[in-house]
Amino acid sequence: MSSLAVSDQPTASNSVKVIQPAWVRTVHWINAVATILMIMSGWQIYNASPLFDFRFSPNVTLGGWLGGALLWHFAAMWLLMVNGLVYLILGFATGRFRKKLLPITPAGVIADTKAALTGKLSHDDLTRYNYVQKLLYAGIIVVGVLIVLSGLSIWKPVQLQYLTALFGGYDVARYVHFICMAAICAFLVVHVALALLVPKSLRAMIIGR
Amino acid sequence: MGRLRSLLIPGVDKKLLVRDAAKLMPDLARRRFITGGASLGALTLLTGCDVSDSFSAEGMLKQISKFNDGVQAAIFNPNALAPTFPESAITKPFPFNAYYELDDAPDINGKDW
Repeated sequence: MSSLAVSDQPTASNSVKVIQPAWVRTVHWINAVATILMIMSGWQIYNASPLFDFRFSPNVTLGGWLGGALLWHFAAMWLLMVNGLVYLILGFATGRFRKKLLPITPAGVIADTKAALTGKLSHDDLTRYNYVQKLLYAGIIVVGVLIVLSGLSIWKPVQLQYLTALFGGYDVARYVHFICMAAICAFLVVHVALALLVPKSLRAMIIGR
Repeated sequence: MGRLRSLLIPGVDKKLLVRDAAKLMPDLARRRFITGGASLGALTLLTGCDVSDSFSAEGMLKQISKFNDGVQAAIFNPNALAPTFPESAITKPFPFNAYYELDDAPDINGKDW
Protein backbone atom coordinates (compact mmCIF):
# COMPACT_ATOMS: atom_id res chain seq x y z
CA MET A 1 0.00 0.00 0.00
CA SER A 2 2.98 2.32 0.39
CA SER A 3 3.45 2.38 -3.34
CA LEU A 4 0.25 4.36 -3.79
CA ALA A 5 0.44 7.55 -5.82
CA VAL A 6 -1.30 9.56 -3.13
CA SER A 7 -0.01 11.93 -0.51
CA ASP A 8 -1.41 12.80 2.88
CA GLN A 9 -0.49 16.47 2.60
CA PRO A 10 -3.45 18.85 2.95
CA THR A 11 -4.68 20.02 -0.43
CA ALA A 12 -5.96 23.44 0.66
CA SER A 13 -2.64 24.51 2.20
CA ASN A 14 -3.19 28.11 3.13
CA SER A 15 -0.57 27.68 5.83
CA VAL A 16 2.46 27.45 3.55
CA LYS A 17 2.72 31.08 2.46
CA VAL A 18 4.37 33.31 5.06
CA ILE A 19 2.41 36.53 5.40
CA GLN A 20 4.51 38.30 8.01
CA PRO A 21 8.15 37.28 8.47
CA ALA A 22 9.48 36.73 11.98
CA TRP A 23 11.53 39.92 12.08
CA VAL A 24 8.48 42.02 11.16
CA ARG A 25 6.41 40.42 13.89
CA THR A 26 9.11 40.87 16.51
CA VAL A 27 9.71 44.52 15.61
CA HIS A 28 5.97 45.16 15.47
CA TRP A 29 5.16 43.98 18.98
CA ILE A 30 8.23 45.59 20.57
CA ASN A 31 7.13 48.81 18.90
CA ALA A 32 3.61 48.37 20.28
CA VAL A 33 4.91 48.10 23.86
CA ALA A 34 7.35 51.00 23.41
CA THR A 35 4.67 53.23 21.84
CA ILE A 36 2.20 52.65 24.66
CA LEU A 37 4.88 53.43 27.27
CA MET A 38 5.89 56.58 25.38
CA ILE A 39 2.32 57.83 24.97
CA MET A 40 1.29 57.23 28.58
CA SER A 41 4.44 58.78 30.06
CA GLY A 42 4.25 61.56 27.47
CA TRP A 43 0.76 62.43 28.63
CA GLN A 44 2.05 62.72 32.21
CA ILE A 45 4.79 65.08 31.01
CA TYR A 46 2.21 67.12 29.08
CA ASN A 47 0.13 67.44 32.24
CA ALA A 48 2.98 69.28 33.94
CA SER A 49 2.81 72.04 31.34
CA PRO A 50 -0.28 71.68 29.18
CA LEU A 51 -0.36 73.10 25.66
CA PHE A 52 -4.13 73.22 25.58
CA ASP A 53 -6.96 73.77 27.99
CA PHE A 54 -7.07 70.20 29.30
CA ARG A 55 -5.09 67.54 31.19
CA PHE A 56 -5.01 63.77 30.75
CA SER A 57 -6.65 61.69 33.46
CA PRO A 58 -4.17 60.02 35.84
CA ASN A 59 -5.86 56.72 34.96
CA VAL A 60 -4.20 56.80 31.55
CA THR A 61 -0.84 58.31 32.43
CA LEU A 62 2.39 56.62 33.50
CA GLY A 63 4.91 57.89 36.03
CA GLY A 64 2.75 59.58 38.63
CA TRP A 65 4.41 62.97 38.31
CA LEU A 66 6.74 64.88 35.96
CA GLY A 67 9.91 63.31 37.37
CA GLY A 68 8.61 59.75 37.22
CA ALA A 69 7.17 60.31 33.77
CA LEU A 70 10.49 61.59 32.44
CA LEU A 71 12.25 58.50 33.79
CA TRP A 72 9.79 56.28 31.89
CA HIS A 73 9.83 58.44 28.78
CA PHE A 74 13.64 58.57 28.52
CA ALA A 75 13.87 54.84 29.17
CA ALA A 76 11.24 53.67 26.71
CA MET A 77 12.65 56.02 24.08
CA TRP A 78 15.66 53.72 23.69
CA LEU A 79 13.38 50.77 23.03
CA LEU A 80 11.42 52.82 20.51
CA MET A 81 14.45 54.28 18.74
CA VAL A 82 16.62 51.15 18.52
CA ASN A 83 13.70 48.97 17.50
CA GLY A 84 12.50 51.63 15.05
CA LEU A 85 15.95 51.92 13.55
CA VAL A 86 16.13 48.14 13.09
CA TYR A 87 12.74 48.26 11.36
CA LEU A 88 13.78 51.09 9.03
CA ILE A 89 17.11 49.51 8.10
CA LEU A 90 15.64 46.06 7.49
CA GLY A 91 12.62 47.52 5.72
CA PHE A 92 14.83 49.24 3.19
CA ALA A 93 17.50 46.55 2.99
CA THR A 94 15.08 43.68 2.36
CA GLY A 95 13.07 45.74 -0.10
CA ARG A 96 9.98 45.27 2.02
CA PHE A 97 9.04 48.97 1.97
CA ARG A 98 9.33 49.14 -1.80
CA LYS A 99 7.40 45.91 -2.30
CA LYS A 100 4.62 46.45 0.24
CA LEU A 101 4.12 50.21 0.37
CA LEU A 102 4.53 51.27 -3.27
CA PRO A 103 2.84 52.42 -5.38
CA ILE A 104 0.32 54.74 -3.71
CA THR A 105 -1.99 56.53 -6.11
CA PRO A 106 -4.73 59.04 -5.17
CA ALA A 107 -7.23 57.17 -7.36
CA GLY A 108 -6.37 53.92 -5.61
CA VAL A 109 -6.77 55.45 -2.16
CA ILE A 110 -10.16 56.94 -3.05
CA ALA A 111 -11.39 53.70 -4.59
CA ASP A 112 -10.25 51.54 -1.68
CA THR A 113 -11.64 53.98 0.91
CA LYS A 114 -15.03 53.83 -0.80
CA ALA A 115 -14.83 50.05 -0.87
CA ALA A 116 -13.84 49.91 2.78
CA LEU A 117 -16.69 52.16 3.88
CA THR A 118 -19.22 50.09 1.93
CA GLY A 119 -17.85 46.83 3.28
CA LYS A 120 -16.58 45.68 -0.12
CA LEU A 121 -12.82 45.81 0.51
CA SER A 122 -11.39 42.32 0.07
CA HIS A 123 -8.88 40.87 2.54
CA ASP A 124 -8.35 37.59 0.73
CA ASP A 125 -4.64 38.06 0.13
CA LEU A 126 -3.02 39.41 3.28
CA THR A 127 0.37 39.49 1.60
CA ARG A 128 -0.75 42.49 -0.42
CA TYR A 129 -1.76 45.77 1.22
CA ASN A 130 -4.61 47.82 -0.24
CA TYR A 131 -4.10 51.51 -1.02
CA VAL A 132 -5.49 52.73 2.30
CA GLN A 133 -3.14 50.42 4.17
CA LYS A 134 -0.17 51.52 2.08
CA LEU A 135 -0.97 55.19 2.68
CA LEU A 136 -1.46 54.77 6.42
CA TYR A 137 1.54 52.52 6.97
CA ALA A 138 3.85 54.77 4.95
CA GLY A 139 2.36 57.80 6.69
CA ILE A 140 2.80 56.43 10.20
CA ILE A 141 6.48 55.71 9.47
CA VAL A 142 6.95 59.38 8.55
CA VAL A 143 5.04 60.47 11.66
CA GLY A 144 7.18 58.14 13.75
CA VAL A 145 10.38 59.70 12.43
CA LEU A 146 8.96 63.20 13.01
CA ILE A 147 7.90 62.48 16.56
CA VAL A 148 11.34 61.13 17.46
CA LEU A 149 13.12 64.09 15.86
CA SER A 150 10.81 66.65 17.47
CA GLY A 151 11.23 64.83 20.78
CA LEU A 152 15.01 65.00 20.51
CA SER A 153 14.77 68.69 19.64
CA ILE A 154 12.85 69.48 22.83
CA TRP A 155 15.05 67.20 24.91
CA LYS A 156 18.24 68.96 23.83
CA PRO A 157 17.25 72.38 22.47
CA VAL A 158 20.76 73.77 23.02
CA GLN A 159 22.96 70.88 21.91
CA LEU A 160 20.63 70.08 19.02
CA GLN A 161 19.60 73.70 18.41
CA TYR A 162 19.77 73.34 14.61
CA LEU A 163 17.28 70.49 14.74
CA THR A 164 15.09 72.54 17.09
CA ALA A 165 15.34 75.48 14.69
CA LEU A 166 14.20 73.22 11.83
CA PHE A 167 10.96 72.68 13.70
CA GLY A 168 10.50 76.41 14.21
CA GLY A 169 11.95 76.71 17.69
CA TYR A 170 11.31 75.02 21.02
CA ASP A 171 7.70 76.16 21.44
CA VAL A 172 6.62 75.05 17.99
CA ALA A 173 8.54 71.77 18.33
CA ARG A 174 6.41 70.97 21.40
CA TYR A 175 3.27 71.39 19.31
CA VAL A 176 4.72 69.26 16.50
CA HIS A 177 5.51 66.55 19.06
CA PHE A 178 1.96 66.70 20.41
CA ILE A 179 0.31 66.69 16.96
CA CYS A 180 2.39 63.66 15.94
CA MET A 181 1.24 61.89 19.11
CA ALA A 182 -2.38 62.69 18.26
CA ALA A 183 -1.85 61.31 14.76
CA ILE A 184 -0.36 58.11 16.20
CA CYS A 185 -3.31 57.75 18.58
CA ALA A 186 -5.77 58.21 15.71
CA PHE A 187 -3.86 55.62 13.70
CA LEU A 188 -3.94 53.25 16.67
CA VAL A 189 -7.73 53.47 16.95
CA VAL A 190 -8.18 52.60 13.27
CA HIS A 191 -5.38 50.01 13.29
CA VAL A 192 -6.62 48.08 16.34
CA ALA A 193 -10.26 48.27 15.23
CA LEU A 194 -9.40 46.82 11.84
CA ALA A 195 -7.14 44.13 13.26
CA LEU A 196 -10.11 42.99 15.35
CA LEU A 197 -12.50 43.25 12.39
CA VAL A 198 -10.18 41.07 10.29
CA PRO A 199 -8.85 38.63 12.90
CA LYS A 200 -6.79 36.63 10.41
CA SER A 201 -4.57 39.70 10.02
CA LEU A 202 -3.96 39.68 13.78
CA ARG A 203 -3.20 35.98 13.58
CA ALA A 204 -0.78 36.64 10.76
CA MET A 205 1.05 39.21 12.85
CA ILE A 206 1.40 36.72 15.72
CA ILE A 207 2.23 33.41 14.02
CA GLY A 208 3.07 34.73 10.59
CA ARG A 209 0.43 33.00 8.52
CA MET B 1 -26.16 0.15 11.49
CA GLY B 2 -28.10 0.68 8.30
CA ARG B 3 -27.01 4.31 8.28
CA LEU B 4 -23.36 3.33 8.43
CA ARG B 5 -23.82 0.86 5.61
CA SER B 6 -25.42 3.58 3.49
CA LEU B 7 -22.20 5.59 3.81
CA LEU B 8 -20.28 2.85 1.95
CA ILE B 9 -19.93 3.68 -1.73
CA PRO B 10 -19.60 0.58 -3.93
CA GLY B 11 -16.35 0.47 -5.83
CA VAL B 12 -14.61 3.10 -3.68
CA ASP B 13 -11.81 2.07 -1.35
CA LYS B 14 -12.94 3.44 2.01
CA LYS B 15 -9.38 3.86 3.33
CA LEU B 16 -8.39 6.06 0.40
CA LEU B 17 -11.67 7.93 0.74
CA VAL B 18 -10.88 8.72 4.38
CA ARG B 19 -7.40 9.95 3.42
CA ASP B 20 -8.91 12.18 0.75
CA ALA B 21 -11.39 13.57 3.23
CA ALA B 22 -8.63 14.19 5.78
CA LYS B 23 -6.73 16.23 3.19
CA LEU B 24 -9.72 18.53 2.82
CA MET B 25 -9.97 19.20 6.53
CA PRO B 26 -9.39 22.82 7.59
CA ASP B 27 -6.06 23.92 8.96
CA LEU B 28 -6.07 22.84 12.60
CA ALA B 29 -3.56 25.58 13.38
CA ARG B 30 -6.41 28.09 13.34
CA ARG B 31 -8.32 26.22 16.04
CA ARG B 32 -5.20 25.83 18.13
CA PHE B 33 -4.56 29.56 17.74
CA ILE B 34 -8.02 30.48 18.93
CA THR B 35 -7.88 28.19 21.95
CA GLY B 36 -4.35 29.36 22.69
CA GLY B 37 -5.42 32.96 22.35
CA ALA B 38 -8.25 32.43 24.77
CA SER B 39 -5.91 31.10 27.45
CA LEU B 40 -3.48 33.93 26.75
CA GLY B 41 -6.33 36.34 27.36
CA ALA B 42 -7.02 34.58 30.65
CA LEU B 43 -3.43 35.34 31.68
CA THR B 44 -4.22 39.05 31.60
CA LEU B 45 -6.53 38.42 34.54
CA LEU B 46 -3.31 37.96 36.49
CA THR B 47 -2.78 41.71 36.25
CA GLY B 48 -5.25 41.94 39.07
CA CYS B 49 -2.76 40.12 41.29
CA ASP B 50 -0.40 41.96 43.61
CA VAL B 51 3.12 41.84 42.23
CA SER B 52 4.75 44.04 44.86
CA ASP B 53 7.35 41.45 45.76
CA SER B 54 8.56 40.71 42.26
CA PHE B 55 9.82 42.86 39.40
CA SER B 56 10.33 46.49 40.36
CA ALA B 57 10.48 49.06 37.62
CA GLU B 58 12.26 51.62 39.80
CA GLY B 59 15.60 49.86 39.80
CA MET B 60 15.58 49.46 36.05
CA LEU B 61 14.53 53.08 35.50
CA LYS B 62 17.37 54.24 37.75
CA GLN B 63 19.89 52.23 35.75
CA ILE B 64 18.69 53.62 32.45
CA SER B 65 18.70 57.13 33.91
CA LYS B 66 22.37 56.70 34.81
CA PHE B 67 23.02 55.52 31.27
CA ASN B 68 21.24 58.63 29.98
CA ASP B 69 23.52 60.79 32.13
CA GLY B 70 26.44 59.26 30.29
CA VAL B 71 24.81 59.88 26.92
CA GLN B 72 24.07 63.48 27.78
CA ALA B 73 27.64 63.98 28.94
CA ALA B 74 28.84 62.54 25.64
CA ILE B 75 26.74 64.86 23.50
CA PHE B 76 27.48 67.89 25.68
CA ASN B 77 29.53 70.46 23.85
CA PRO B 78 30.46 73.35 26.18
CA ASN B 79 30.98 75.59 23.17
CA ALA B 80 27.39 75.18 21.98
CA LEU B 81 25.72 78.25 23.40
CA ALA B 82 21.99 78.64 23.81
CA PRO B 83 20.51 80.55 20.87
CA THR B 84 19.53 84.18 21.56
CA PHE B 85 16.39 85.83 20.27
CA PRO B 86 15.32 89.46 19.63
CA GLU B 87 13.15 91.17 22.26
CA SER B 88 10.32 91.21 19.71
CA ALA B 89 10.16 87.43 19.92
CA ILE B 90 9.02 87.46 23.56
CA THR B 91 5.65 85.77 23.93
CA LYS B 92 2.97 88.11 25.23
CA PRO B 93 1.40 87.46 27.69
CA PHE B 94 4.58 85.89 29.02
CA PRO B 95 4.19 82.26 30.22
CA PHE B 96 6.01 82.61 33.53
CA ASN B 97 7.43 79.32 34.76
CA ALA B 98 5.08 77.79 37.40
CA TYR B 99 2.69 80.76 37.33
CA TYR B 100 0.06 79.38 35.00
CA GLU B 101 -2.28 82.28 35.57
CA LEU B 102 -0.76 85.58 34.50
CA ASP B 103 -2.36 87.32 37.51
CA ASP B 104 -0.46 85.03 39.90
CA ALA B 105 2.90 86.37 38.75
CA PRO B 106 4.38 88.95 41.16
CA ASP B 107 5.00 92.54 40.02
CA ILE B 108 8.71 93.24 40.17
CA ASN B 109 10.82 96.17 39.08
CA GLY B 110 13.71 94.42 37.37
CA LYS B 111 16.21 97.24 38.12
CA ASP B 112 15.61 97.29 41.89
CA TRP B 113 14.93 93.64 42.56
